[in-house]
Amino acid sequence: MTLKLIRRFLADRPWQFALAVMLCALGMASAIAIVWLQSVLEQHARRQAEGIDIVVGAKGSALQNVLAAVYYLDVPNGNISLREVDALRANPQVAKAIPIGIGDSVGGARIVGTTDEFIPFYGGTLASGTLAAAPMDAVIGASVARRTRLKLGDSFVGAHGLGDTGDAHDSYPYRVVGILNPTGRVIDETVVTPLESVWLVHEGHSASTEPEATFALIQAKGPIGVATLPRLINARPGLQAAVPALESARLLTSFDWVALVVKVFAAILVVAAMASLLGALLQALARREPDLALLRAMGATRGRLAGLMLGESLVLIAVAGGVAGGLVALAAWSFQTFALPGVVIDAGEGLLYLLAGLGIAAMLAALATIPPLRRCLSIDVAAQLSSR
Amino acid sequence: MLTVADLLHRYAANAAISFGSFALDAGQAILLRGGSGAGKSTLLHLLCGVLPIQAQSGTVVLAGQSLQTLSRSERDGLRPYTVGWMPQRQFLMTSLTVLENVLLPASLADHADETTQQRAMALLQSFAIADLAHLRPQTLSVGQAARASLARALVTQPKLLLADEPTAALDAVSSRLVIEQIARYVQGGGAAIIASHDPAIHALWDAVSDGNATLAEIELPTSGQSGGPK
Repeated sequence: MTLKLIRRFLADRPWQFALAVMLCALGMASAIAIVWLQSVLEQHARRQAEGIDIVVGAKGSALQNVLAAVYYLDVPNGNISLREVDALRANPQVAKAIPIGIGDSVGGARIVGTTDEFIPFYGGTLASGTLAAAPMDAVIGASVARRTRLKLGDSFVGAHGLGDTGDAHDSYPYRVVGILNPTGRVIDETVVTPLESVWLVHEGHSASTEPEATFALIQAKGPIGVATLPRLINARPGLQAAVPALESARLLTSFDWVALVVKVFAAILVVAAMASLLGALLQALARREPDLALLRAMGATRGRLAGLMLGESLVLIAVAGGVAGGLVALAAWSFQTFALPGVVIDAGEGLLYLLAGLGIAAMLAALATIPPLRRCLSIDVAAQLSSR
Repeated sequence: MLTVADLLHRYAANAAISFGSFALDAGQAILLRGGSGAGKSTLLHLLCGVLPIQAQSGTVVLAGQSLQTLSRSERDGLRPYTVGWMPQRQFLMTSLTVLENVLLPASLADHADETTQQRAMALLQSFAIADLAHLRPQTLSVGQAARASLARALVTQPKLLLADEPTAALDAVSSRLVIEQIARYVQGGGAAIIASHDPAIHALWDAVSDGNATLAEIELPTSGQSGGPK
């Protein structure tokens, strides 16, 4: 009977119910999406640096070197000698030293000149075609292929810098020889080519006469290497070691207040959602007082009335939770499709956030039910059923 | 079945209504009379357990239970099987159909079984509103709503029926139908207290009961004096 009454009560005022559901759902979805996508973003940032213990670049800002070499978000400080990279590779503490040469782009994607080690280092596998065998061969990441619609055999030219506005290197077209599967890492947004391609395109642009790279991505053999190599590298003229884990942590720490503001904002949204629920319940109660008095007169216990009120708010929260789930999924899809293509979004984690959000909302909803419930339980049955 | 002795209800520090003493057995009915504010509804609220009987304010024994010793939940338990209540406001819940409204007391007690449903339909049939059973109450006239309200009070076959102004605002046909059903219930072994200031009730009762059920009368004084059966 209680469930039937809840269903009828809600069905009798569909617009008010829909409005309350939408207000709750929007509040919950915004809060959950904010907190979840912030976590996704942090994980994405960490994932890009996985396996890279040290970035070796030209002297300058360590953070700038990390942003340029790991995330392709900044310009490099300069170039380093390939001979230095080879020397580092020979160090017994170094497991891998992968030189990369960057500077140009196509359709907003970095063109990275490097060695054969680069693609396996990022866990890349071929979806079609082959790996680069000669200068000006290009293997494109999954997101680049989707966005630029480049296919195997197509040719393109790189533009200087990261935007599409840089000078095009028209004389040196690249040819797509392979397309990679998605990895969720920065390689998805990258065009990989032999280091020689970069030298060829920039022939005469450098003052140096010996082969150069922009960075070397270093993977140490163990924690001792991670601890000792930076000092060794920094002692070399023209070289600077940057530890991505440290630089990223430093960067994130300086943005701690942003994370706090985001969380406070999310909390405000949840509280606003619950306030709208409280308002809806009080409004419904005011309209339904005679009905509740009648139920008491017909033998309904105070416990049953409490069940009715609580049940109604929980049904509202459950429906709002379903809608919020849909909205969060839509936000995650939009984020993955438009804002950050290639970002790995763990639906299971999202579900956990949703369930946690729902749990908190259900608890707050139960609290929000207390004032109307107290009012409901103190209804003067005699007065309600006698007055006209 | 019902014994009321020296019953008093204090509604303010220095104000009380005295209901005196009276008794009611199965197969009997009482018409409670009195002007507005005399305490007719209050007496019904005390008897159905909605209002508590205050300490040292007399005794009420209903179906073997002393009401003043009952807790609030025990008083709630009087409804709907010991006491069937037809409140003064004969409204029905608009969220439910007429039949669901009639079945409401049984449903709340989780006893809306097949037998009760058949009884509810039979009541609606005898009240000439069976064809409205599956409609929402908004479509009912005042007279039809009053009949449905009485059917709801009777569906659980209570020992005592309390009807608060059952004919108020009803036309002659509906009034007769309502009083006829109450009389039939009393003739079937029920007990009823009707609170009303409708002067036509006694005549109506005599007409529909064919002298097979008596309707005693209690006149409640407008202030402070004891009432009692005439």
